[in-house]
Amino acid sequence: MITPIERRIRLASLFVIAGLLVEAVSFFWKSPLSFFLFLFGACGLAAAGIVLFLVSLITVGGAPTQEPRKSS
Amino acid sequence: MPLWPFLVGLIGLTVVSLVYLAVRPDATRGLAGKAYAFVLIFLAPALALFGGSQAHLERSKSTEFCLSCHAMEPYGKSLFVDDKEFLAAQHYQNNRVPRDHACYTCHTDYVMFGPVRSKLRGLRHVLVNYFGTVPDTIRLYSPFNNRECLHCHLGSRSFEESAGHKDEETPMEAIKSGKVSCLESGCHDVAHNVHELAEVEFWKPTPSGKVPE
Repeated sequence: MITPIERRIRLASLFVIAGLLVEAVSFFWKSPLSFFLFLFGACGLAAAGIVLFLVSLITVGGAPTQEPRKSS
Repeated sequence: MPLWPFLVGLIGLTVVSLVYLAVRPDATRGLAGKAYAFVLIFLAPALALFGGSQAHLERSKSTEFCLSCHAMEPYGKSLFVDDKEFLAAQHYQNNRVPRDHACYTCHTDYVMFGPVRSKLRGLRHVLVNYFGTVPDTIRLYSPFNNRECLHCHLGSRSFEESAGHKDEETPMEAIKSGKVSCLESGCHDVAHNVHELAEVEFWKPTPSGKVPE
């Protein structure tokens, strides 16, 4: 069972993967616009992933997700 | 050695490890798993982004980068003018500036944060080139400062002992203090002069890059 923090880590990983792939593309694109791709594409996506990861560390508990108990 | 091949390697390793983390997020349970996640989602991307910014800034200093905009083509052409009066051409052809960083060497400000200001101006140029209207006549934002010339020439024998730099009309102190402009005093006022390119002859470098005999 995946905990809420693990779900956030998965999402953060996907953001960082996307950002790093965009950064790699910006190295091979020989155009002055490649810097803008790096700045707004790569940095934006990777920073979103990093922030999501750091925020989830302090806001989300690590306990496995459980069905809420029904009060009788 | 350029930085970007190392960064591509770092990015490749990080992405492969992150794919595993995305598929098996439960691997982050335990202290070792949390450290693993911290390295992959924080440290490695932060390092890759910092290195990437350095690599892009370094690339933006290259002559090839500056001349990749259509508006700069005549300025690139002016570096090959076969005329000693053309200041930029003489600097380029005689290796007085590194050929692969020719534009940046003369057009950066040699003061604290000067390179940062140059890069911000460069960002503006890129935006104007792609999303704005390039003016018919491209002018400097401010008159060319002697400081940029003196960064290299100050103390050099050809500069210090030149008769033209020591006569009564242009005393050395006035040049060094900037009271007499190198480029606008009538002494070295032919820099790029792109509007004259149709009337001049051009230097053809030999394949080895040496001046043809």
